[in-house]
Amino acid sequence: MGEKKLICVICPVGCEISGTINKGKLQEIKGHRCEQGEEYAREEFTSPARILTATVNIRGGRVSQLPVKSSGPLPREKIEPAMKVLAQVMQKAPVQEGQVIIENILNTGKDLIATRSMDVLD
Amino acid sequence: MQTFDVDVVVVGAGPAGLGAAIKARESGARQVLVLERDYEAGGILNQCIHNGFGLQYFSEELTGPEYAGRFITGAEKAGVEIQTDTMVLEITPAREVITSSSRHGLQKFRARSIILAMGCRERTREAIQIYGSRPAGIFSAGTAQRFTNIEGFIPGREVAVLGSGDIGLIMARRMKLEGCSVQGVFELLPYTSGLSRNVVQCLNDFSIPLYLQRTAVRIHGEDRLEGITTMQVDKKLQPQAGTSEFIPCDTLLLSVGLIPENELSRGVGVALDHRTGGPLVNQGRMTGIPGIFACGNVVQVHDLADDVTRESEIAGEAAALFAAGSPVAHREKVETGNGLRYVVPQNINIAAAGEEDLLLFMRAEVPRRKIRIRISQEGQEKLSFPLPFIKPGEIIKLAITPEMRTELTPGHNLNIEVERDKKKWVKKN
Repeated sequence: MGEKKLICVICPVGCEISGTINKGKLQEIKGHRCEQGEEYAREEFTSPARILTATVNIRGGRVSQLPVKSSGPLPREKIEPAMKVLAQVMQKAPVQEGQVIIENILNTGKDLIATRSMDVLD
Repeated sequence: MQTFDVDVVVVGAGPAGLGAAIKARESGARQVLVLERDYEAGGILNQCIHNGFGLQYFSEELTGPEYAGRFITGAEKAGVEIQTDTMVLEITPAREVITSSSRHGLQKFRARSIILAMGCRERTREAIQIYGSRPAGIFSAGTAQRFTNIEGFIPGREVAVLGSGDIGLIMARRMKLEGCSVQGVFELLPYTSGLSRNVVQCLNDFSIPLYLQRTAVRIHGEDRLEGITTMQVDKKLQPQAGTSEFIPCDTLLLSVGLIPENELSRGVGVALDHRTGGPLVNQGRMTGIPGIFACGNVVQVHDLADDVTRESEIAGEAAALFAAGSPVAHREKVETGNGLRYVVPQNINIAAAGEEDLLLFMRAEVPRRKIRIRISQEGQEKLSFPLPFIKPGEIIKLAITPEMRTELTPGHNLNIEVERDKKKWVKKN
């Protein structure tokens, strides 16, 4: 039996949650104060995932970087490979907030989308 | 110089300025003008590309640019005018705002009320006086963030981060994601000053070490930074002999605190609170000069943009009311005692708070568990708020409801302090 610990990041309270793992299976979660916290801990102990936020190169806008995010959490081990994919992008202005920049990145079922609009610089 | 008459002038189009401007319009101000020195509105949020914004205010998780985008759109819809590329040079006690811009030259705006929303800036190497040479490669974390996220330059390859404030933690991850090696985050204090979620998601996720009670004591390098000497510090924050370690790095990012940017406030004679570094304000965020309001990081350095928004709405509404001729004067002072670094607002009016909650922001001096926050008047306890823990890195917010306020005596100052809670804490699960 093993015990894993984490600090919950759902809200600023920062509960210290522990999970008991027996033969690779999660047995018990302790220390949370809310249901979201329990759900977060379950995910975190079994299949941690993160929203990826980064930038891609953009041409024709006022600045050279366009901020992007994944449309949902990516498995944690896909974060660094995903960075390599978006290093290859050269987007052209104009871009609308929410526009898909890379579809279904690394077959995760999640898209990479622009988090701001950028007009063409006159 | 062209002169204009405006109901409300807001200085700064970051989250504080935009939030205040929208609320001022919604509260009846006719013309609301926001002056911004950058080429676009949004402020620092434009470079804060990470997520985590809006969880409290919008109940959804947004990135900085998305959070800013909502307020830029909101300002347009509310009929707020934003003038960018415009630097405010001076504010006079008669509520005149003098600006300079290449497009319009010098302008003068005569305002019924003014909202200061200039935000804050980062402390520098000079402010913390690290000994050594002066090579290239030393940046404030926010400058590196702007280079990376907006201009598209990575500031170096081998990075050390001094200070564990949120920007430092976020930049440690950002540099790692961009392919840099990150040697570690060094923190003078025995605890981080950033949010727990950032320690987890920015450092632990990427195996970036966090060294507590260890700081940089020397900078090495001729043209470019070659490394830093770090040392362990004792309880009095003094470096201890025999603990020095050389950390090779070509880039040092400093996340060593933020300073409210109050040059304009000082210039017009607004009284500042030495604890917050921002203006002394009342519950409507009016400063000591009638008609001049302030909100956001210029008042106190917030942890969350969501709190900035809440504070800006308070100021926006009060500024609109003042412009319409119904100002609220304060009567009671709020003073902090044991365990608290500061409280905002520093002045309140118990009787005039109406139906709304009176929100008090305060910051703990040190991390503590199982405490209560005690509010007393003339030595007598009036209200008590038990809290499981407090941390200097996470602002404490107490809502004094209208019902609670019936316990308070108008005209008597409030004293707020932290006390060990004697009642037994029962674990919930």
